[in-house]
Amino acid sequence: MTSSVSRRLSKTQEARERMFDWSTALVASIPWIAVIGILAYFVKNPEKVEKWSSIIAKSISWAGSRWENASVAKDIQADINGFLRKTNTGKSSSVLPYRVKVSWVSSTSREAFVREGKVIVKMQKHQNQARNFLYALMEWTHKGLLPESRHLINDTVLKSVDFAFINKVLSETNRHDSKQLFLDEFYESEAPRGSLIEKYCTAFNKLDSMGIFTGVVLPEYSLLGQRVGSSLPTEEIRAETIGLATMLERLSRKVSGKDVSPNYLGKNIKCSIVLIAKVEKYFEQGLSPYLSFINKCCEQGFSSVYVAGIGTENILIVEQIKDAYERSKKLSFVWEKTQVLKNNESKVLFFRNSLENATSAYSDKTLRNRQRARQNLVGETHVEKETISNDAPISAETTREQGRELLIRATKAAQDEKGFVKGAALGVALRRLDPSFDPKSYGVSKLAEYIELYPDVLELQGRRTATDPTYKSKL
Amino acid sequence: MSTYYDIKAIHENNLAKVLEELGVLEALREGTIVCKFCGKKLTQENIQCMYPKNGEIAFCCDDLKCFQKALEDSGSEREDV
Repeated sequence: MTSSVSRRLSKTQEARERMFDWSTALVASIPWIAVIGILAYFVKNPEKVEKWSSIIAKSISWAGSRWENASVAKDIQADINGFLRKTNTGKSSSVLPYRVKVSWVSSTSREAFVREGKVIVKMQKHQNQARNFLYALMEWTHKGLLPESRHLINDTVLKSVDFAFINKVLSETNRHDSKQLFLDEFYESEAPRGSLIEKYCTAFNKLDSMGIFTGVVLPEYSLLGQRVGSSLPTEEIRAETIGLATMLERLSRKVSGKDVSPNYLGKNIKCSIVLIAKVEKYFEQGLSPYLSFINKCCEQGFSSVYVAGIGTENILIVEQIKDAYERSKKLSFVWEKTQVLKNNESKVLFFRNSLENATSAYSDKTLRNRQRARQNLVGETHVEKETISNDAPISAETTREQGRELLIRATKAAQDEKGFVKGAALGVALRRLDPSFDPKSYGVSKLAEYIELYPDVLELQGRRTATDPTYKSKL
Repeated sequence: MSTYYDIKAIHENNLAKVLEELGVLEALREGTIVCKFCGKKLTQENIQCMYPKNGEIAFCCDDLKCFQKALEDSGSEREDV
């Protein structure tokens, strides 16, 4: 009896000891589990490593220049690369292909510096990091945003894209002090009130609040570089980049109930945006109006079709459109991008038109071929009514030709017997022929720039800065 | 794999040494180096960037507008039509 009790006691004690061993091991492993968890988090979020490195380096920056440099560089890298990671999700990386790295120059010879050909920027102590960050961001934007397309984009449009982008990065990285510097010391003088740059920047900023700036504007300008390839920039291409910006600016000012064409059809940029904004339309008519509009875009030869929706209900419609085209061989789904906005969420789908080369509203294809292509498209047979605005797309070529025709007529009216025309007389003639004449309609801000668009019509005599320049007619 | 864009930087603590190696420190102290864009006389305090241009070294001041012009001037990728 006694031995049975003592055996039971000893078994209980053994069990207790085993449990104690397990719990001791478990407690002992907690730090390791925590370390592994932290490591996994940092591997997944490399910019967090940089941010923490920067904080640690800053706290010991008194210990030497190595730590001071690290605190400045890592802080810049953490915020820019963190923004990049968030922005590039699900989208073509040709918009922003480069991460940023600050490399310190501690020694160089004149020959090496000239040979390397790179800008060297001075960075101040980490106490002046607001300024350091802004200089780094401006350089990264200039070299790293749309690198394949920058040389093709009109200067005014490119500056507007850059400024809107810089403003976006500063806002999203909570760099309020850098943003203040940017606005006070740069933006207000570079984009004065009423200027075209300010107009485009305001538009891009507004479109950004709908997820369209990084979802449509940047990818579409990026695609231009891929489409044009290594070709040299031409006036026509740059005029198209203005045309797209003009369409986007109009779209950004769209008010409910008023139709604004969401299309731009040029030779190189052929872009259409389907905005899903009213869920009531879907409840009344289903997907038909949207599918009908998209199908029409395919038929007309638009190469890029973006479908954008804001808010949970509209995003559900966007997803249904994606499903509708999943099996279509005519419209290929390329990517989707979900963005968390201030008070909402947005989703943009990007489709590439596979019929682009087969169908074009401006090509010589016969109606029969178009009808055949139409039959192959998804949902066309179910379309009952089209409600999205399908205004005639703005064509850069058409605008340019209208501008040329007007200039020719004004030149003929204003030139003297030797074919010389005074700038002021030309301006009067232009406005007499077209009272609504405004150089901005042709993507430029001044009369002189408008005239320069047509070097085959007029040639400047002397300097452009002259008070009343004289031109020689080439007609 | 990520591609990096390298921002070449000099810390202000190290600026004098690099300028000396480039052979421009004396001229900077004498006040003969000016911003390529606004013509402001440059010092170690207000110099912001430098870059090679046509075999020479171009300098720019810490005005953000001049810095933007320097970025445009340093790249020759844009060709006028």
